[in-house]
Amino acid sequence: MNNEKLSLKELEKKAYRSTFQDGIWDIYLGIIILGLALSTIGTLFGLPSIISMLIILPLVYSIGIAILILGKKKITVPRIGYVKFGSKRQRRKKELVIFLSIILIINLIIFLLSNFEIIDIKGLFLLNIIIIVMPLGIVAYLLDFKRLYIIAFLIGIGIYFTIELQDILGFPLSPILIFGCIGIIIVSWGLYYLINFLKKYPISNQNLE
Amino acid sequence: MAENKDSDEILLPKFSEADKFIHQSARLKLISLLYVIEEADYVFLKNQTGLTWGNLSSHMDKLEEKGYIYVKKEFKEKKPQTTAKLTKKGRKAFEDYRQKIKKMEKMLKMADSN
Repeated sequence: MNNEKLSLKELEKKAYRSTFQDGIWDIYLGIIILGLALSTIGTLFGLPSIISMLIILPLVYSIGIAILILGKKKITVPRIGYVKFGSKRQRRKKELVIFLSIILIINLIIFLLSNFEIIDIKGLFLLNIIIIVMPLGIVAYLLDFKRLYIIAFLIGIGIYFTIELQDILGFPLSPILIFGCIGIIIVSWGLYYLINFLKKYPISNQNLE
Repeated sequence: MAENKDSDEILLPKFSEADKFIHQSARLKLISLLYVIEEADYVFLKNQTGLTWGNLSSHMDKLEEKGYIYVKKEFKEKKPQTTAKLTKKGRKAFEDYRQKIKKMEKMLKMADSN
């Protein structure tokens, strides 16, 4: 008699979570946060902040997306293999895309409103939490990606300290330093996971017929 | 005495040849995994189940022979890739097996409490 209790839900979760052990999502998110920090760097050279953001953000985000797509394709899949999950996961993926699109539109509207000084976003810590940190928590839930809760928490702390230290450090040094540090921390732990993943799953030359 | 024997036969779920086939540890791991996902290649199945290449290959062949899984061999970017997914027959056989195991567990719990 086989005494192992069949918990299919746990089995599916274990298989799904194994796709996050490569640290590539962490590296991607760390780069996105670094992008936020670097996006204001142009103002140090006299550029308006919106121009600085429009130049740096697409550049950094393109690098992040390239790392995510190529990393999954060239590093992850050859090592842990290819898997297609069931309809429930695919439905969640669609929900995630719709949810992220809505959040992106809301963020863009608020970003434009604050840039044209229609609303003062800098003082609205709660609004920042609602439009950035809470959605990330929901994404963590939809993706079943636990480390994303920590990333959302770190971003929340980052927003708080950026606002609190604005008077001492000034703009743009405050977001550059705080989000720069958070971005580096997240990229570093992503690299740590990636190194462990590479050690755990060397590429097998075994070729099955 | 004969009455007891009869009632036991009525209560205990009968395990078919198909159930015995699925019950084998390695095959149970493979079929359970394929039940909860849609499809996967052999590399993924090997990593998740911890089986050796030889073991994996031999049990996958047996599952394919029984018609429980569908195996697709193709080339992706000039590299061979073998993927597998559960067939309707395999899904049904696993569901029947699970029901019997659940029934058995329930009965064992009842027996324990008595």
